[in-house]
Amino acid sequence: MIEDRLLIFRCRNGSRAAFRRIYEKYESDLRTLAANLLDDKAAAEDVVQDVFVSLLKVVDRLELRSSLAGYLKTSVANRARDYLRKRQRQTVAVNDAEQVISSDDGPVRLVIQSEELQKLGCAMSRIPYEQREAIVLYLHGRMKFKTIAKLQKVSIKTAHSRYRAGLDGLKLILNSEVQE
Amino acid sequence: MKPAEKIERLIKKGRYKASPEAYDRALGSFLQAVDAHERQKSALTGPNIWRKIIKSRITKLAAAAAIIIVVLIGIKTFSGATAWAKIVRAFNEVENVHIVGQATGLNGKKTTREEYWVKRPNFIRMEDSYILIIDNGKERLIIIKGQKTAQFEDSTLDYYPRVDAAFAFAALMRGRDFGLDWAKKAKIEKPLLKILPSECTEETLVYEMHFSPNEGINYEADSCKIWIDSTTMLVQRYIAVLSDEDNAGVIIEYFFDYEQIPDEMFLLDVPEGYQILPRKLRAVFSGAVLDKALKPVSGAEIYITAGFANLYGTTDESGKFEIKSPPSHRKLQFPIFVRAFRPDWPDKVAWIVLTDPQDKKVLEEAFPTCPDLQLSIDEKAGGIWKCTGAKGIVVRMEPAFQIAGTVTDEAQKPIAGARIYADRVWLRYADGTPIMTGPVGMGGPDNQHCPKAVTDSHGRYLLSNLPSFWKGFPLKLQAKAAGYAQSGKQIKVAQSLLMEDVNFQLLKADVTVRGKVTNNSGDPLAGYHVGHSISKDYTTPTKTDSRGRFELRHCPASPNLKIRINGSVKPGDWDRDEASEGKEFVYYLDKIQPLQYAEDKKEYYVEFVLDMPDRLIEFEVKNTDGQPIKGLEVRLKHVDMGAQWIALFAAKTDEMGKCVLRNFPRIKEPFLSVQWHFTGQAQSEQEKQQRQELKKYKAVIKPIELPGDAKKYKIQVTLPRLNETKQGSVTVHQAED
Repeated sequence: MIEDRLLIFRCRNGSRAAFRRIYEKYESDLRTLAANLLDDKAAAEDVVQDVFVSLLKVVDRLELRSSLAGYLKTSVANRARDYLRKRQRQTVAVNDAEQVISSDDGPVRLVIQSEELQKLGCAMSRIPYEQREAIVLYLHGRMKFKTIAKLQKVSIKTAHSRYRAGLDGLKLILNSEVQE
Repeated sequence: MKPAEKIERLIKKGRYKASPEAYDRALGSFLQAVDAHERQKSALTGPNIWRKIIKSRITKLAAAAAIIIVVLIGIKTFSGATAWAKIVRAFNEVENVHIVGQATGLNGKKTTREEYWVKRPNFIRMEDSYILIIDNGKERLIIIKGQKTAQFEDSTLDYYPRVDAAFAFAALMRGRDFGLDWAKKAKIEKPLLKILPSECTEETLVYEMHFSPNEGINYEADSCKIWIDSTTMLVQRYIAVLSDEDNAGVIIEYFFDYEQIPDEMFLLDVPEGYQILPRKLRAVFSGAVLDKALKPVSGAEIYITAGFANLYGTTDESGKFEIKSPPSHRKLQFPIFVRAFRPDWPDKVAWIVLTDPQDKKVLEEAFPTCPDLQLSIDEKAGGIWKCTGAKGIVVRMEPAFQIAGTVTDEAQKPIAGARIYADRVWLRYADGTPIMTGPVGMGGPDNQHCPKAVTDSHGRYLLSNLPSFWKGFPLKLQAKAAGYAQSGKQIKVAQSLLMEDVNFQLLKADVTVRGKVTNNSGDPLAGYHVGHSISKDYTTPTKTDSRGRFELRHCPASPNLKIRINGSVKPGDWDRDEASEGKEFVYYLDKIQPLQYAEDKKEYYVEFVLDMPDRLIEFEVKNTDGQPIKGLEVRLKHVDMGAQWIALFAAKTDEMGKCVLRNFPRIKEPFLSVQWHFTGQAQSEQEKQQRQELKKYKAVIKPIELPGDAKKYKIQVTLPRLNETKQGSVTVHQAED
């Protein structure tokens, strides 16, 4: 946290090393977040890159109310949503798990490629986006429901129930396959 | 495991990582963007962060900044030839020091600037936007700029060794409530220095400073730097980033120079237009020490303890004493304990307890009282009477009792140099209320003022000059020796004894336990207290870090060594908004784990997995006619559950008299309460009636047993009305999963 503030401070003074450190520190988390939100490796990379470049522009007037991580994650979530909106307009079908489980030569590589994850990815793309968003932000983004609610512009209760409903939905889709 | 939990875990597994080439490509393009942005920015010449700052703020952190100076200029015990020792020595040898410090909030908005002048041995001056303090070793002037007031008092430098600038600074800051105690409490230690060869020049050495993290204050590891003149080893400048628990951070920067400071800087002149306030006084205690034959005793040591204040003095040739309270304690809290003795008369002591004359409670023993007490009401402490001095305290020597014994290790080998001290005595008022700050008190820093002794080469010690009225009260003794675990014993000395034997056996404290705390979904638990024990009481010396890890050093080497995780978050850690949602807070039960102890093993690793509370408890509340009761509050709690948790494990019965508590921890015998509980006025006539109706019922408040280890329970409660003779009942069954 404090390191982040110091990094921001250094970034304002034009430290290339500080920007690099921020990138190295958060790239992986943000990529995971974006990829899980979007189901699309290439799009995820674009979104993450966009978020970092936009940080350059705002760093001088950036006032961290919470944390840099929080700020970056929120940016990823917002951009991911923008991206999806655009994509829907272009009427490109939302792809299923195939795309998430990328091949080795692609820029995005799944660390664990289990069968279960494939099925899960498939199921994830079938639940409503706001539910998926709540789940991904909570589990991958480690955001609090308070933050998620703010981001989704709903009450904490709604964010929480979206999360629950999403999980229930996933449970239904995955049916007995994940049951013990 | 529940399917939902399994899905949660599965989702968490979906991590993505770029291939190395892709990562390099992406990073490269980002850095290009950074460079392009910087070029553009420098063309616009953005304002310097330091110049953007306008406002001033004085915070704990700014104080911490100054405390670093205290560390820097030297707690004199740092000796040797290390870089730090050289820096400290050089600093303490110069006559004139001028320091300009600046603390800036990390949001870049607020700053505070302070300036110090030290002219050894007697002169000191400190100034910031709020206050100016000048102390010339005799008199001290405090000017509050905003209020346009000036006030004189005795120099406080007397209270600290004058040669040591660090203490002088601490004394200065006492006027602002930031003192040495604070620095000691924060356990600021000697920093570790690491030279940065790439930044050093021929004239200047640059070091990175590492401070060990302290309670409340963090020193950002890679951000503390110090610049040293390579020939004189004098500090030129240092910079550090600090943050407190709330993550409010400051960047502090100090510049040093060593030019001759003109004496005019230390003149105690009050600027024109300033109001001079009445002189600030300290409590004065005066009187005499007499022997049995009422002859004055010269050279007697007098210790006065009152709460956390400790005063010390000696009697003069005529057996008289006059002791001023330290600047930090101008008013003393009752009861005040005065103890006088001569170290060469181990079996004699003179004492008196000054009690609050307004207080109706009287101590069990009839204490001699002091004729001339000066009192004042302390508004800040909630309007209680405090003592601002006492004249004519006369104490007479009487037989003292002594405690003797040996301190050995496990192999019965004597430990030399072990320190034994009487930690405190629990006195009681006549009505049985204990006096919270026993006359021995905590004794201030290092327990200086409590009776203490050191063992000789045979491990023998003798604790003398103990007043006989302590007999019959519980007295706590502590034994400490380097490399051994501290050991405490509570004793009660029989009235007839003049000498009590108390032996200690100390265990080696060379075991280190590291570990990790997670819950059963694999999430690390941060900020939980971890403690160790070989008996009943647990220490809580450390908390888990953000990754749930902890390290306990200096644990006693004993097969009985156990480690405990305190599972419930402390009330201070709660965010009210989030508490109302409930979700983020999980009540874990404490977990105690003994170690697989082996005599020659000094390092252990323990993993704790705390179980997520997962019980579901259904309630059904009926009256004796079998009708459901709506609107009653049902609570289930653990014996030592904090209030915030109790509110979380509460529910109101619905139309059917039913309610459910979820995620309740697996407590064997929780405490059940079923009763009406209203907040605020009734909003409607109907509600008013309902309340009246509910008030007719008796309450159930009792411990219940949840048999077995099921996940789901059903509890049926029958409540009788107030006028009924029938008994209520509570039945508990395990429910189907």
